[in-house]
Amino acid sequence: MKCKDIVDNVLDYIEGHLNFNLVLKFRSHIEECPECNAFVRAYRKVIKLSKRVKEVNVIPARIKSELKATFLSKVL
Amino acid sequence: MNNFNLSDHKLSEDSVLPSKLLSMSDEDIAHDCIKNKKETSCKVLFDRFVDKIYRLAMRITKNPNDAQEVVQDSFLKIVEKYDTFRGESKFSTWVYSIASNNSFNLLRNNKNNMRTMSIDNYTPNSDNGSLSEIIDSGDWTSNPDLITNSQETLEIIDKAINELPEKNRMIFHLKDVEGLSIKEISKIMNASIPSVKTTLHRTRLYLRNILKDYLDESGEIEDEM
Repeated sequence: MKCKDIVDNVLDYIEGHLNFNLVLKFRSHIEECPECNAFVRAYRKVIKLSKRVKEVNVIPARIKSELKATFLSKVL
Repeated sequence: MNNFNLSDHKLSEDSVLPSKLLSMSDEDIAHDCIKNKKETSCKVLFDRFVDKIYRLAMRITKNPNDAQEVVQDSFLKIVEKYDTFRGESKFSTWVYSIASNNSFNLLRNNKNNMRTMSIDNYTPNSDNGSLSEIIDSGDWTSNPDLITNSQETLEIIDKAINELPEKNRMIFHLKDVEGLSIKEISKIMNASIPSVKTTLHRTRLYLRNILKDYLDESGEIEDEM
């Protein structure tokens, strides 16, 4: 597996969509290639950080209460 | 079978809800609310989805007032169109579709749309297939700024995503922020799985470069966050 293949397959590797043989080749390459190792780590870090982006956009509590009251009044 | 995680569902402030209610599936809660008119179930239904809908609406419209309007309209539409939900997809997928449609409808009417940049032609590899152009940063994953300025880092990512076209924003948000599967996203967006994957991958590579530019390079490889 070449470095370009690491970039092309990293998403499927992390999602668990690569077959067993490709996983072995992928892992073998990143163990031997520091650049690709760093690339995969950074790619994983982006995903990990992104999970926390939900902390940025939070609906204000007062608005949430008002919307809830409106919803309940209409559905019940 | 739905993957239900109790810890994902916040309790409303105004009631202590029985554990049986909290452990009900989304479909059952919706039915109990909409068809049986059970107030406690309606509260749970609202609490389960309000934050998800708001976040998606913010991602698409980039406007808090519009996002609030989407929340209101989406819950009303969930009730109005409930009989059209056939159970062919997860209930949450259906809710996201409603929220997405409402958000895009509002966006089209929004006269203050920010310009976005396309990364459709973003190709990180150099012509000879090497990674030199995307690996040249070394390893920034253990940079201490990621920890001490974590909120700022998240805001950097949030801002960077908001500069991209709606398709990129939405796929990234649904997958990497909200944790939906690629299959679910392809249903919500009516896009092929390969298309969703390609867009997601390009967006992640783009974000990686944004963070590379933002952070200083560092040495040791660690996983702090």
